[in-house]
Amino acid sequence: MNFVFQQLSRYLEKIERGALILVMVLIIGIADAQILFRNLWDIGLIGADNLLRIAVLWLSLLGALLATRYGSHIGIDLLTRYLSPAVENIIERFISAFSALICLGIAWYSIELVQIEYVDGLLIFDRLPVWWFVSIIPVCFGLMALRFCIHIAYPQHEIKE
Amino acid sequence: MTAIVAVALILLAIFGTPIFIIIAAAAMYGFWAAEIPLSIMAVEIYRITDTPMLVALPLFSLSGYILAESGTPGRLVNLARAFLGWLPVELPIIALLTCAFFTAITGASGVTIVAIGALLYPSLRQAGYAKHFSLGLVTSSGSLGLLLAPSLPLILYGVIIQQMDIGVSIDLKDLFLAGLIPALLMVILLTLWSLWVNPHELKQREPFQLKRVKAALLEAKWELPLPVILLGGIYGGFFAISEVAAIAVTYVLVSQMIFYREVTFSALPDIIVKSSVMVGSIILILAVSLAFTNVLVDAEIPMQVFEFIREHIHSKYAFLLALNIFLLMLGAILDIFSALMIMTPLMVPVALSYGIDPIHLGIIFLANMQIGYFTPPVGMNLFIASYRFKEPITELYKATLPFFFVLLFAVLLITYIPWFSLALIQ
Repeated sequence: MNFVFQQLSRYLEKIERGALILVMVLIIGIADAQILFRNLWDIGLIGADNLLRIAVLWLSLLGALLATRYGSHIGIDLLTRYLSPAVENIIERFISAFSALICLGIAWYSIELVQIEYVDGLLIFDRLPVWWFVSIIPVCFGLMALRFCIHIAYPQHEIKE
Repeated sequence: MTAIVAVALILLAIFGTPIFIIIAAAAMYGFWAAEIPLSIMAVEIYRITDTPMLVALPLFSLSGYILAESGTPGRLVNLARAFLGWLPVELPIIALLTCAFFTAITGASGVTIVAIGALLYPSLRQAGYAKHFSLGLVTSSGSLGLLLAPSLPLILYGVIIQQMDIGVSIDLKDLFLAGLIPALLMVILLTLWSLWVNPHELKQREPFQLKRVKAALLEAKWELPLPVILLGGIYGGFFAISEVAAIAVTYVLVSQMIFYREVTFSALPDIIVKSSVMVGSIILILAVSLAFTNVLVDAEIPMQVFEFIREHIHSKYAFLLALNIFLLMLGAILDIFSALMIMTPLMVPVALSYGIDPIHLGIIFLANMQIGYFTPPVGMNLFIASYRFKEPITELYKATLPFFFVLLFAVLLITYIPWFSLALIQ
């Protein structure tokens, strides 16, 4: 596999994994803190619930992004194992191209939502702008599109390093 | 035009395009055709942040993945053998119970076959059980426990009903209670089947030893609080489901990393990634399905499905039969999560009009899809078992066939006798 792509693919994977692990640690931390404060001192943490739900969105999108990297998205895959490797190769590239297009579409149109939130200037906890949190959608779908593009050039079964 | 797009998308799906891409494409086409700005896709995806109990999914799944990597499966099997080893046909019974239990406490995240099945399969073979029986048993038991708390598909069904806004609300706790008797029924029928095919095993292999029970209990002492946390938390009603999930994962982390020291700190990142990749791809399907459902509702598709079915099927029982056949076929080609998210919004209104309780419907749906885990051609557990036990997939088709019929019988009982699902609630 082409050296530049390989490096790019590895760096991206490292960043994505790091972000994912961080979000998971955050989720466990916030959830536990919330339970402790409520039950021991009867204090509700303002905004913790909101933050948790957004963190789940982040975790899911980052997880799905890595699922694209590992080729482990849920799919039906009824026929490919009966095809010859050459045909399979072509179909895999075509599917990657189609998937890249859809992800790019979602990324593109979700930038509009980020812009709307940016103009609205809504804040969570009085200081964090909502558009920061929404940005994960175009970022993750954009990266997914990139990942699928890499798979057009280098189909999944060739990358298994 | 719509027909061409539909056929193209189905073809793409059959050739292995990720399901979330197919659903997203269908939703985007629908919005485009209705001249709705496509930025609505992002709004719909962001809508999953409206669901507080969704946080339970990544947490339960992480607990499951950690437990599967630790010595817990071994200790669980030991404990079961110490308690039940004196029974005739003890190994199959132990396999059924430990699989159901492990699937339940790990939220049915698909780790049971590798964790428990791999431990029990060699023991079954050693004890003289036939190869096909042993393989079939561990493979079909891999999804047993799907109806027990806190399984991810059950939680998802509750989430979808909540999100759908169809005028019914169900309590997740009721849903968890409803699964108890049906799950027990499956275990009993499979036990009877194991007795029936292994009459030569109707002898006691080893006596009951209190000493052994004590030793096994002592060995598993840090795991014993876990079922109490899960079941007490969920059924006791002290905590919300997401809080139970947080407490459970924290307890699992502490017990496995500090008390047992079987999961190292350096192994944790990999486990987190593996678990989150699975959960992330499921929640992404949920997110795009929310968008797709809205397209369907705008196009009045549920209305049309509703009228079509009402026009052609007149009795409740004919509807249930059609539902069973349809879900079995669906389960054979689609995984449980995608099937749940696509079908629930279409099915619930129709089922309600035939007077079927939404909780009973959820149990019927999941019981049917549980069989789908090991029906060819795409049953997930068939592939996991084939990979793990190094047997060709066709061997597994043959091995699981008798178990398919036993569980099918259970599903029919569950479908036509609502008592099994509804006895514990109300």
